[in-house]
Amino acid sequence: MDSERQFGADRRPLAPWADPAARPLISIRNAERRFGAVTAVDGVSLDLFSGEMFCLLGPSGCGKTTLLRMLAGFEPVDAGSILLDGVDQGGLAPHQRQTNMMFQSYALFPHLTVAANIGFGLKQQGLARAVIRARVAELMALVQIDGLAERKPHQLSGGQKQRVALARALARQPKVLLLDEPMAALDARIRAETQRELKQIQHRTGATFVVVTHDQSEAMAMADRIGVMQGGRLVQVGTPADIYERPVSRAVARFVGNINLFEAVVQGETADGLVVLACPAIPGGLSAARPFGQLAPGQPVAVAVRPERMEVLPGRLAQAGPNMVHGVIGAISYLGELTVYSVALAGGLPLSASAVNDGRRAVQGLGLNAEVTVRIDPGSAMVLTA
Amino acid sequence: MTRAARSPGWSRAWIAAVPALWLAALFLAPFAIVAKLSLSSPATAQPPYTPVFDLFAGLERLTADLSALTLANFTTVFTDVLYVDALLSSLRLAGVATLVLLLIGYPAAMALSRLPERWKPFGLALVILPFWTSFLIRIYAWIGILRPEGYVNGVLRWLGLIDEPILFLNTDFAIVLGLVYAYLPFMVLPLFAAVDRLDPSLAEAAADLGCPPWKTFWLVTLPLSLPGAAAGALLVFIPSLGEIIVPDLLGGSDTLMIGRTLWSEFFSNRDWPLASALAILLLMVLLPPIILWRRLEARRWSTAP
Repeated sequence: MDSERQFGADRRPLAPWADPAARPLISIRNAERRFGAVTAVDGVSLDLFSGEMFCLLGPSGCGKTTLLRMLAGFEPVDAGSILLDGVDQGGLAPHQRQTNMMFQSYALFPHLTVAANIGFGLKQQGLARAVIRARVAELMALVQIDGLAERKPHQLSGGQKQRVALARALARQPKVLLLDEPMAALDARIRAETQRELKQIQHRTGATFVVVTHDQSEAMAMADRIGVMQGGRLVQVGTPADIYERPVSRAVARFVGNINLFEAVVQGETADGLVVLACPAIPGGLSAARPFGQLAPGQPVAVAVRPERMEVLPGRLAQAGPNMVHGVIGAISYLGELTVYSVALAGGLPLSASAVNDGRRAVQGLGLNAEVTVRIDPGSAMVLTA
Repeated sequence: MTRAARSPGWSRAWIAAVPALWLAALFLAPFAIVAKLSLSSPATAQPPYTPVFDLFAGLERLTADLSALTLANFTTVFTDVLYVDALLSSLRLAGVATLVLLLIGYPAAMALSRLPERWKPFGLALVILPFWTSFLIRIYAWIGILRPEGYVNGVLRWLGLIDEPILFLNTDFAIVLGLVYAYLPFMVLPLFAAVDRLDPSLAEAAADLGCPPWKTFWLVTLPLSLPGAAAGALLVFIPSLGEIIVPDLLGGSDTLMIGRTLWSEFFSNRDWPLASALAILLLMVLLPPIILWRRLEARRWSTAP
């Protein structure tokens, strides 16, 4: 099963979400949040497990930040409930909750030093000064900002601010750390590095991280599981591989990674479990992997194919059978490890296909305006009913 | 910055000269006149003081006039218990009023800042609205509210809470009430400006890290809006200290406030030199807090991001 991943195999059970006996740390049950006529979070149900890194992914305005703020207690739950360790969080103010949040703006206290910012939450717990100092030093080492203790926030770089915000949010050893777009204000250059570090820190602290992001590559890189939100609803929850390989709808498929979508009509099934489809864009017909749900002949569906699951062959192959289609290369993007071909199909439909530049495939006959035949791997073509 | 550096020197000089001239004409010159008056002696004459400088009467006359200047008024001001008492009671009343204004101003400013964005201008307009009526009339109206047969006593009596009217008018309470009422907008507006500027996520972060609302205010909102509080406090404290109308209308005849004492020295006793000495004294009292505030501001700007 390719949805099981090796992350943290040394210290955590693999995929607690797949284990029906596992007890969730957080249970969100039909949670709803309305702003006037707008329902920002619309009947979201979700179980989160101890020690997992969960990414809430969606376009801006999809309700992901509102859901995060409901977990922190900044937004009330208008209907439904949120349970932490089985305890309903409904009546609890933010300062009474066992969650901590890292804000998108970092929200560092400008009048306090780095050490005072990180120790702020510990001071509220009434810990002794020496204990706080030791814990702050520990946290500063964890996020690698030793030596900045006496700086004020305005004397820090963006990356340093982000680390202080992370350390401050981790200080109280929250059961759940809520991160609102933690990478949004960082340079693209240091983002990948920081994502890796964040993942390491999460493993070391063992806390459950809930990360809100609009960046699908960030979600794919960090998450144990991803929840895709659209229009206030949680439309799909799964591992990055689940989301990428088996999106539940056209919208999810479009949002995560690059994809080619073809409208098609179901015709029947083959004995070896493939669906046969009539597709106006692909005159030779198309066969694709069977989805989980029931399909009826004549049902209109979409077929989604990732660019890297298509093969671009030079020339117009005469026997263009099923899963083969002719076209002309309209644009070539050389991306280093990949080359992406934009192919205009006979009907004018655009299609994008990519090939790994592994050196062997010295691509001949794949220049601009070249006639090509694109072959679609039937096992990788996904049938989407929604 | 770079644009200013590139522009011709004379235009920068001009820009600096306009406020300098303004200050010289409207602050330094009157101050010099008052300072000179405070060193003069009262006289039954027109104008009612000596010496009167005449720059065209020759050097001999001028030196004689200069030697006629005296510190006698300041001696009087510092030795006569009346003036020191007036100053102390003014400081006390203005101080109490400033504290009360801070206590009322903060919740008001924070409530305004939490209004939805489109309602904020309306809320601010309500704060400024009293200015549309004459200050004198509004203070005068308090007499009707506070006097023994006034509305407050009427309601209290109607409720059966009191038999005898409570004496509000002509008390320190009435003065503080009048000062608070009169200067509330001057406190609320700078506080609002300071509080509204704050990133709301700062207060959320404090709550997230375990602060109940009062502690969030104490540890985050208050320290970060302190410059606004200082500005508001100065804006209400300075005019309160020299206030004439409020103690005159609400305070009754035996209330000592320095502004009122000054007024009566000037107009009733026609002792211009003594009144001027009082004015100088008032200025000296106000200078330290103003300088302190300027220092704080300068430090804030030099360390601000």
